[in-house]
Amino acid sequence: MQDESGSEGAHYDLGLTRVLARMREAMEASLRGLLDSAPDAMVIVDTSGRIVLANAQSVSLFGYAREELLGKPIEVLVPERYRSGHVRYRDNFLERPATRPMGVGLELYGRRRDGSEFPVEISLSPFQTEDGLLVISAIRDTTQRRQAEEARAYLATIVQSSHDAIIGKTLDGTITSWNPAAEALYGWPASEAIGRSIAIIVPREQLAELEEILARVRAGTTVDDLETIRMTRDGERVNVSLSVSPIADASGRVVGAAAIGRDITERKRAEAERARLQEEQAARGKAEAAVKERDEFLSVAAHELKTPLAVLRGYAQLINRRVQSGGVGEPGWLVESVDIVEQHTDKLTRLVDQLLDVSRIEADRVVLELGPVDLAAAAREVVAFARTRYAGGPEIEVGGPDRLVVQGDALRLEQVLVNLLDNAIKFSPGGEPIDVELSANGADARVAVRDRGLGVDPAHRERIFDRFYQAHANEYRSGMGIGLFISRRIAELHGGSLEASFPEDGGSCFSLMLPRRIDG
Amino acid sequence: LNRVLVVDDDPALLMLVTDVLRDEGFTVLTASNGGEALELVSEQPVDLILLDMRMPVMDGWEFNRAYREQFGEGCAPIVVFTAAMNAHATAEEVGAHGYVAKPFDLDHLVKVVREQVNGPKQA
Repeated sequence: MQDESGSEGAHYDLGLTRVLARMREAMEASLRGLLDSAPDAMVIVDTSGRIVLANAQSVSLFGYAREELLGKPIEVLVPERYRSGHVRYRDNFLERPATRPMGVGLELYGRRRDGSEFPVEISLSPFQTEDGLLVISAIRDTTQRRQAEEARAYLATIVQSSHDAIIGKTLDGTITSWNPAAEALYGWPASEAIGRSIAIIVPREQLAELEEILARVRAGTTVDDLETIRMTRDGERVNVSLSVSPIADASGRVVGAAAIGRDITERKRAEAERARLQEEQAARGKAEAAVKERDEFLSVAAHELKTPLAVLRGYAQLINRRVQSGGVGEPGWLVESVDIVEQHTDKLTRLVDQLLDVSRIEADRVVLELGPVDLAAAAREVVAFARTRYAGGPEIEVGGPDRLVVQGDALRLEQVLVNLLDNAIKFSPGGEPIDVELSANGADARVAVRDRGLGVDPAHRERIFDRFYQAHANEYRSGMGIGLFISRRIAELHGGSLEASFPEDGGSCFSLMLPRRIDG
Repeated sequence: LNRVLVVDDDPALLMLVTDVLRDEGFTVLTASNGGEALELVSEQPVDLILLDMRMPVMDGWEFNRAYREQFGEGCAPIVVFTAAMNAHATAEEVGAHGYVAKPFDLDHLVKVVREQVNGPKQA
């Protein structure tokens, strides 16, 4: 204040005009200061359209020096192509001056000193001065806003045109947005879906899963490519792959979720189709393998049957020849020959029985004639028979109780014992000793046939009970590959089992286990 | 003397063929597998080998290979004696001079053996 009164004192001699001029200057200065502090570019023009004032923002926005603008028509700030039109608009405005935004509904552009253009938003305010009407234009550069809008529109277009269903929802599952793909996939129009619960597309059995998804989103985590089932408006189930991400507001707080659902029904169908084809192929392969296996078996079986047949036919012819030529000198020879014929008839019968057994087992038509069977007696009988049949073969020892009674079919169990012992002898070409061990273990009776012969290569062990499988097919003549298959089946039909083990010191051990007959 | 070696793992067949061929005047040697046969032919020459194919220890195929390797040009003719379904093919496969398929006719067996032992001149 002191300064000011001092100042006033210093200019005491000035005339009124100058005082007024200075007052105006001061007012202009303060007005300019006011305008310079405004956030928008502001330009004041007079009725002739000449710029009488431009604030700092307008200077920096348009790239002119303030002096360059003052006194120029406002049109310097307008792109050339709009200039003549602008003059007309300006005249119209002056006829009905009022505060309003300029060019409503039009895209407005400003022009910088270097000729470049930028989008603007302008509002106009007329005000009366003693020098006449002035118009203040407030000009805002909308480049950034326009870009943001464009980006938003672009994103919206992506969402709208996406083939994936994209759904926005609140944390409690209320639908907030619903794109056309969601309409197509789920059958609900956006207008009906928005505002409802997301549960409208979740089948009852998946509701727990929905809760889990929402819980995860609330915790700020995502759900990625969850393959699940959703429901259309008609209640039809669709396979979808679902990705759900939390949506955060500017402060980072999770306020909702975006769910992207892809229809994978077709893919699932294709997968199922592929699986079906693979299965079919596997089944075909299996069938072909079975046919091949059967062919091989038939060739082996034919070979096995032809050998005793050759003996029968040969001896019949030889006996005939010698009888006709009167050469059957020694009666011993004839007896021996007839014995051989009988043995081979038995052998042939056994082979045919085995073949019939296979078909009976496959048709599930094996009938057991059950009764008490003393396994101990049966085993000793079979061993005694083998000792005479394979005279000069391996030594066979029998150990264990004198009596071991099971409920079973005596003939079938004998067949199993014969098979196990025959195998043991056949695969002990060096005549290694064989043990037959009987034992009772609680409710089980057990017969173990242990040889010290060839054993079974580990590669073949798993398959030795398979039908037609011959572990020694290549290196050892070994029948038709059905003996163990039949024996195991007979054990199983008795409620028992037949297992193989292969002792460290070589050979094989086959254990027949049967439930004991306790009253026996 | 016409010496025929019969190789078969079935003792009854060995006896039978031995009886038949001896009745026809052949000298018959027997072996119950390829290994035994190989030992026999190393000890004495034979005029014909009647060879079963499926045998334990050493089968017909293995014997055939070992025998030809060992004797080369000096090999006696081999007649395959088999119950296989394709006796003819088996004979060709091992380069045999002939085959007798089981079950066989005695007359046929004798005829084949005689042809091979006496050679084409008497056939």
